Amino acid sequence: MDKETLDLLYRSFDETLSADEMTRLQKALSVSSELRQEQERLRFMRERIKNLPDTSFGKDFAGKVMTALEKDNVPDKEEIFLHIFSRFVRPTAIAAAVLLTGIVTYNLSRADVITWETVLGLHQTSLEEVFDPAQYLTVEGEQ
Amino acid sequence: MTDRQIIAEVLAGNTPVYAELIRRYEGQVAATVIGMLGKTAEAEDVAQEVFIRFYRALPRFRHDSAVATYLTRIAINLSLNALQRRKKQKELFRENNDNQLSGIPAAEENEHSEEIRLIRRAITQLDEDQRAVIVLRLIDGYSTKETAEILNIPLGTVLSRLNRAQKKLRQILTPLLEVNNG
Repeated sequence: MDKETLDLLYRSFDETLSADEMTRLQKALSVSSELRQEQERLRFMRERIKNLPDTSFGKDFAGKVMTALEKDNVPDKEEIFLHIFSRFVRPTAIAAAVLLTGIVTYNLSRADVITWETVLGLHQTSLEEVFDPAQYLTVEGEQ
Repeated sequence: MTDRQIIAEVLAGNTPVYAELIRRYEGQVAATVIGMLGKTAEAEDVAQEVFIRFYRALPRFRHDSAVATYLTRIAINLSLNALQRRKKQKELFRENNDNQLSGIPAAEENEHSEEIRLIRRAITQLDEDQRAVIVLRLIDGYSTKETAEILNIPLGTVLSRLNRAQKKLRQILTPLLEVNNG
Protein backbone atom coordinates (compact mmCIF):
# COMPACT_ATOMS: atom_id res chain seq x y z
CA MET A 1 0.00 0.00 0.00
CA ASP A 2 2.02 2.98 -1.24
CA LYS A 3 1.62 6.46 0.14
CA GLU A 4 0.28 7.92 -3.12
CA THR A 5 -2.49 5.33 -3.43
CA LEU A 6 -3.38 5.75 0.22
CA ASP A 7 -3.63 9.49 -0.34
CA LEU A 8 -5.96 8.89 -3.29
CA LEU A 9 -8.10 6.70 -1.07
CA TYR A 10 -8.41 9.41 1.59
CA ARG A 11 -9.16 12.06 -1.01
CA SER A 12 -11.80 9.90 -2.70
CA PHE A 13 -14.18 10.41 0.23
CA ASP A 14 -14.42 14.19 -0.16
CA GLU A 15 -13.09 15.02 -3.59
CA THR A 16 -14.02 14.17 -7.12
CA LEU A 17 -10.91 12.45 -8.40
CA SER A 18 -9.83 12.87 -12.00
CA ALA A 19 -10.57 9.98 -14.35
CA ASP A 20 -6.95 8.95 -14.27
CA GLU A 21 -6.78 9.04 -10.46
CA MET A 22 -10.02 7.10 -10.19
CA THR A 23 -8.72 4.40 -12.54
CA ARG A 24 -5.52 4.09 -10.51
CA LEU A 25 -7.44 3.84 -7.27
CA GLN A 26 -9.90 1.24 -8.62
CA LYS A 27 -7.03 -0.81 -9.96
CA ALA A 28 -5.19 -0.65 -6.64
CA LEU A 29 -8.34 -1.60 -4.75
CA SER A 30 -8.92 -4.59 -6.99
CA VAL A 31 -5.50 -6.03 -6.27
CA SER A 32 -4.88 -5.03 -2.65
CA SER A 33 -6.98 -6.53 0.12
CA GLU A 34 -5.06 -4.34 2.55
CA LEU A 35 -6.23 -1.22 0.71
CA ARG A 36 -9.81 -2.51 0.66
CA GLN A 37 -9.61 -3.11 4.38
CA GLU A 38 -8.31 0.42 4.88
CA GLN A 39 -11.19 1.75 2.79
CA GLU A 40 -13.62 -0.12 5.04
CA ARG A 41 -11.96 1.26 8.18
CA LEU A 42 -12.17 4.79 6.85
CA ARG A 43 -15.77 4.31 5.86
CA PHE A 44 -16.54 2.93 9.32
CA MET A 45 -14.75 5.82 11.03
CA ARG A 46 -16.60 8.43 8.99
CA GLU A 47 -19.94 6.73 9.59
CA ARG A 48 -19.33 6.59 13.31
CA ILE A 49 -18.46 10.30 13.42
CA LYS A 50 -21.49 11.18 11.29
CA ASN A 51 -23.75 9.15 13.53
CA LEU A 52 -22.62 10.49 16.85
CA PRO A 53 -25.76 10.75 18.99
CA ASP A 54 -27.68 13.99 18.96
CA THR A 55 -26.64 16.28 21.71
CA SER A 56 -28.46 18.93 23.64
CA PHE A 57 -27.87 21.03 26.72
CA GLY A 58 -30.99 19.97 28.58
CA LYS A 59 -34.61 20.89 28.18
CA ASP A 60 -34.36 24.39 29.65
CA PHE A 61 -31.61 25.60 27.37
CA ALA A 62 -33.93 27.96 25.49
CA GLY A 63 -35.16 29.36 28.83
CA LYS A 64 -31.59 30.03 29.94
CA VAL A 65 -30.83 31.89 26.73
CA MET A 66 -34.00 33.96 27.04
CA THR A 67 -33.09 34.87 30.64
CA ALA A 68 -29.60 35.82 29.51
CA LEU A 69 -31.14 37.96 26.76
CA GLU A 70 -33.35 39.77 29.26
CA LYS A 71 -30.30 40.54 31.38
CA ASP A 72 -28.45 41.48 28.26
CA ASN A 73 -31.14 44.02 27.46
CA VAL A 74 -30.27 46.05 30.57
CA PRO A 75 -27.09 47.46 29.05
CA ASP A 76 -29.22 48.28 26.02
CA LYS A 77 -30.68 51.18 28.02
CA GLU A 78 -27.18 52.47 28.31
CA GLU A 79 -26.83 52.04 24.58
CA ILE A 80 -30.05 53.98 24.08
CA PHE A 81 -28.66 56.79 26.24
CA LEU A 82 -25.44 56.80 24.24
CA HIS A 83 -27.47 56.78 21.06
CA ILE A 84 -29.49 59.79 22.21
CA PHE A 85 -26.30 61.46 23.36
CA SER A 86 -24.58 61.00 20.06
CA ARG A 87 -27.71 61.90 18.10
CA PHE A 88 -28.76 65.08 19.91
CA VAL A 89 -26.34 66.27 22.56
CA ARG A 90 -23.19 66.04 20.50
CA PRO A 91 -24.49 68.04 17.50
CA THR A 92 -25.87 70.64 19.90
CA ALA A 93 -22.48 70.92 21.59
CA ILE A 94 -20.74 71.26 18.23
CA ALA A 95 -23.20 73.96 17.12
CA ALA A 96 -22.67 75.82 20.40
CA ALA A 97 -18.90 75.65 19.98
CA VAL A 98 -19.13 77.01 16.44
CA LEU A 99 -21.43 79.81 17.58
CA LEU A 100 -19.11 80.72 20.44
CA THR A 101 -16.10 80.80 18.14
CA GLY A 102 -18.01 83.09 15.79
CA ILE A 103 -18.96 85.45 18.59
CA VAL A 104 -15.42 85.59 19.94
CA THR A 105 -14.01 86.22 16.47
CA TYR A 106 -16.55 88.98 15.87
CA ASN A 107 -15.81 90.59 19.24
CA LEU A 108 -12.09 90.46 18.67
CA SER A 109 -12.41 91.98 15.23
CA ARG A 110 -14.22 94.97 16.73
CA ALA A 111 -11.98 95.44 19.76
CA ASP A 112 -9.01 97.82 19.91
CA VAL A 113 -7.34 95.89 22.70
CA ILE A 114 -7.59 92.25 23.62
CA THR A 115 -8.98 91.73 27.08
CA TRP A 116 -11.35 89.15 28.57
CA GLU A 117 -14.09 91.73 28.30
CA THR A 118 -13.52 92.30 24.60
CA VAL A 119 -13.29 88.56 23.93
CA LEU A 120 -16.52 87.90 25.76
CA GLY A 121 -18.18 91.01 24.33
CA LEU A 122 -18.82 92.49 27.75
CA HIS A 123 -19.64 96.15 27.87
CA GLN A 124 -16.46 98.15 28.32
CA THR A 125 -16.89 100.95 30.81
CA SER A 126 -15.44 104.15 29.50
CA LEU A 127 -13.75 106.73 31.65
CA GLU A 128 -16.54 109.11 30.78
CA GLU A 129 -19.09 106.75 32.28
CA VAL A 130 -17.17 106.40 35.52
CA PHE A 131 -16.25 109.95 35.80
CA ASP A 132 -18.48 112.55 34.20
CA PRO A 133 -16.53 115.75 34.28
CA ALA A 134 -19.72 117.69 33.78
CA GLN A 135 -20.79 116.80 37.27
CA TYR A 136 -17.67 118.17 38.89
CA LEU A 137 -16.37 120.80 36.63
CA THR A 138 -18.60 123.70 37.19
CA VAL A 139 -18.11 127.01 35.62
CA GLU A 140 -18.42 129.81 38.07
CA GLY A 141 -21.52 131.85 37.68
CA GLU A 142 -23.51 129.11 36.00
CA GLN A 143 -25.15 127.79 39.21
CA MET B 1 -44.06 29.38 11.60
CA THR B 2 -41.06 29.78 9.31
CA ASP B 3 -37.70 31.12 10.42
CA ARG B 4 -38.40 34.29 8.48
CA GLN B 5 -41.74 34.77 10.25
CA ILE B 6 -40.16 34.21 13.66
CA ILE B 7 -37.45 36.75 12.90
CA ALA B 8 -40.03 39.29 11.70
CA GLU B 9 -42.03 38.76 14.91
CA VAL B 10 -38.96 39.20 17.10
CA LEU B 11 -38.00 42.37 15.26
CA ALA B 12 -41.53 43.66 15.73
CA GLY B 13 -41.04 43.35 19.49
CA ASN B 14 -42.38 39.87 20.20
CA THR B 15 -39.14 38.71 21.81
CA PRO B 16 -40.48 35.51 23.48
CA VAL B 17 -40.97 33.94 20.03
CA TYR B 18 -37.21 33.81 19.78
CA ALA B 19 -37.30 30.79 22.13
CA GLU B 20 -38.88 28.81 19.30
CA LEU B 21 -35.92 29.54 17.05
CA ILE B 22 -33.55 28.46 19.84
CA ARG B 23 -35.40 25.17 20.28
CA ARG B 24 -35.33 24.62 16.53
CA TYR B 25 -31.56 25.00 16.19
CA GLU B 26 -30.31 24.01 19.63
CA GLY B 27 -29.39 20.51 18.46
CA GLN B 28 -27.39 21.72 15.52
CA VAL B 29 -25.54 24.36 17.51
CA ALA B 30 -24.91 21.78 20.25
CA ALA B 31 -23.45 19.33 17.73
CA THR B 32 -21.08 21.99 16.40
CA VAL B 33 -20.02 23.40 19.76
CA ILE B 34 -19.70 20.03 21.51
CA GLY B 35 -17.80 18.70 18.50
CA MET B 36 -15.37 21.58 18.84
CA LEU B 37 -15.09 21.86 22.62
CA GLY B 38 -16.26 18.54 23.99
CA LYS B 39 -19.24 18.10 26.27
CA THR B 40 -18.24 20.72 28.82
CA ALA B 41 -19.91 23.54 30.73
CA GLU B 42 -17.90 25.90 28.53
CA ALA B 43 -19.63 24.40 25.47
CA GLU B 44 -23.03 25.32 26.89
CA ASP B 45 -21.87 28.87 27.59
CA VAL B 46 -20.61 29.18 24.04
CA ALA B 47 -23.89 27.81 22.67
CA GLN B 48 -25.83 30.39 24.70
CA GLU B 49 -23.56 33.11 23.37
CA VAL B 50 -24.24 31.90 19.81
CA PHE B 51 -27.96 32.56 20.21
CA ILE B 52 -27.37 35.87 21.99
CA ARG B 53 -25.08 37.05 19.19
CA PHE B 54 -27.61 35.98 16.59
CA TYR B 55 -30.37 37.83 18.43
CA ARG B 56 -28.27 40.99 18.43
CA ALA B 57 -27.52 40.51 14.74
CA LEU B 58 -31.18 40.04 13.74
CA PRO B 59 -31.71 43.65 12.58
CA ARG B 60 -28.81 43.14 10.15
CA PHE B 61 -29.77 39.60 9.08
CA ARG B 62 -30.64 39.74 5.38
CA HIS B 63 -31.52 36.05 4.85
CA ASP B 64 -28.63 35.73 2.39
CA SER B 65 -27.79 32.42 4.01
CA ALA B 66 -29.95 29.98 5.93
CA VAL B 67 -30.38 30.58 9.66
CA ALA B 68 -28.68 27.24 10.33
CA THR B 69 -25.60 28.24 8.32
CA TYR B 70 -25.43 31.63 10.00
CA LEU B 71 -25.68 30.04 13.44
CA THR B 72 -23.05 27.45 12.54
CA ARG B 73 -20.70 30.21 11.43
CA ILE B 74 -21.12 32.01 14.76
CA ALA B 75 -20.78 28.71 16.64
CA ILE B 76 -17.53 27.82 14.87
CA ASN B 77 -16.03 31.28 15.40
CA LEU B 78 -16.94 31.38 19.08
CA SER B 79 -15.65 27.83 19.57
CA LEU B 80 -12.36 28.74 17.92
CA ASN B 81 -12.12 31.75 20.25
CA ALA B 82 -12.81 29.48 23.22
CA LEU B 83 -10.08 27.09 22.06
CA GLN B 84 -7.67 30.00 21.82
CA ARG B 85 -8.54 31.02 25.37
CA ARG B 86 -8.09 27.43 26.47
CA LYS B 87 -4.69 27.31 24.82
CA LYS B 88 -3.62 30.47 26.63
CA GLN B 89 -4.87 29.08 29.94
CA LYS B 90 -3.00 25.86 29.27
CA GLU B 91 0.18 27.81 28.63
CA LEU B 92 -0.33 29.72 31.87
CA PHE B 93 -1.01 26.64 33.96
CA ARG B 94 1.06 23.94 32.32
CA GLU B 95 1.11 21.79 35.38
CA ASN B 96 -2.68 21.84 35.62
CA ASN B 97 -4.13 18.42 34.92
CA ASP B 98 -7.69 19.61 34.66
CA ASN B 99 -9.52 17.65 31.99
CA GLN B 100 -11.13 20.73 30.49
CA LEU B 101 -7.81 22.41 29.99
CA SER B 102 -6.27 19.41 28.31
CA GLY B 103 -9.18 19.36 25.88
CA ILE B 104 -10.65 16.14 27.21
CA PRO B 105 -14.32 16.69 27.92
CA ALA B 106 -14.93 16.09 31.60
CA ALA B 107 -18.64 15.43 31.24
CA GLU B 108 -17.88 12.66 28.74
CA GLU B 109 -17.04 10.42 31.68
CA ASN B 110 -20.76 9.80 31.96
CA GLU B 111 -21.19 8.69 28.35
CA HIS B 112 -22.52 5.17 28.23
CA SER B 113 -20.82 4.16 25.09
CA GLU B 114 -17.08 3.73 25.21
CA GLU B 115 -16.97 4.03 21.44
CA ILE B 116 -18.71 7.41 21.42
CA ARG B 117 -16.42 8.61 24.16
CA LEU B 118 -13.37 7.51 22.18
CA ILE B 119 -14.54 9.21 19.00
CA ARG B 120 -15.40 12.48 20.70
CA ARG B 121 -12.10 12.41 22.52
CA ALA B 122 -10.23 11.74 19.28
CA ILE B 123 -11.87 14.75 17.64
CA THR B 124 -10.86 17.00 20.52
CA GLN B 125 -7.26 15.89 20.00
CA LEU B 126 -7.16 17.38 16.51
CA ASP B 127 -5.71 20.82 15.84
CA GLU B 128 -8.45 23.43 16.00
CA ASP B 129 -8.40 24.04 12.23
CA GLN B 130 -8.67 20.35 11.44
CA ARG B 131 -11.33 19.94 14.10
CA ALA B 132 -13.45 22.66 12.52
CA VAL B 133 -13.49 20.94 9.12
CA ILE B 134 -14.27 17.54 10.62
CA VAL B 135 -17.13 18.98 12.68
CA LEU B 136 -18.61 20.88 9.75
CA ARG B 137 -18.12 18.15 7.17
CA LEU B 138 -18.81 14.99 9.10
CA ILE B 139 -20.86 15.96 12.16
CA ASP B 140 -22.89 18.84 10.72
CA GLY B 141 -22.97 17.29 7.25
CA TYR B 142 -22.01 20.34 5.20
CA SER B 143 -20.46 19.86 1.76
CA THR B 144 -16.80 20.73 1.33
CA LYS B 145 -17.85 23.88 -0.55
CA GLU B 146 -20.18 24.98 2.25
CA THR B 147 -17.47 24.20 4.80
CA ALA B 148 -15.10 26.46 2.88
CA GLU B 149 -17.71 29.23 2.85
CA ILE B 150 -18.46 28.94 6.56
CA LEU B 151 -14.78 29.01 7.47
CA ASN B 152 -14.03 31.60 4.80
CA ILE B 153 -11.09 29.61 3.47
CA PRO B 154 -10.35 28.17 0.00
CA LEU B 155 -11.82 24.81 -0.94
CA GLY B 156 -8.32 23.39 -1.41
CA THR B 157 -7.48 24.24 2.19
CA VAL B 158 -10.62 22.47 3.40
CA LEU B 159 -9.69 19.36 1.42
CA SER B 160 -6.12 19.26 2.66
CA ARG B 161 -7.23 19.82 6.27
CA LEU B 162 -9.83 17.07 5.90
CA ASN B 163 -7.19 14.75 4.53
CA ARG B 164 -4.76 15.43 7.38
CA ALA B 165 -7.50 15.31 10.00
CA GLN B 166 -8.75 11.93 8.80
CA LYS B 167 -5.24 10.50 8.83
CA LYS B 168 -4.77 11.69 12.38
CA LEU B 169 -8.16 10.36 13.47
CA ARG B 170 -7.37 7.07 11.80
CA GLN B 171 -4.17 6.93 13.84
CA ILE B 172 -5.83 7.85 17.14
CA LEU B 173 -8.72 5.47 16.58
CA THR B 174 -6.60 2.52 15.43
CA PRO B 175 -7.61 0.29 18.37
CA LEU B 176 -11.31 0.92 17.76
CA LEU B 177 -11.06 0.47 13.99
CA GLU B 178 -9.06 -2.72 14.23
CA VAL B 179 -11.48 -4.27 16.70
CA ASN B 180 -14.41 -3.50 14.40
CA ASN B 181 -12.80 -4.01 11.01
CA GLY B 182 -10.08 -6.57 11.57
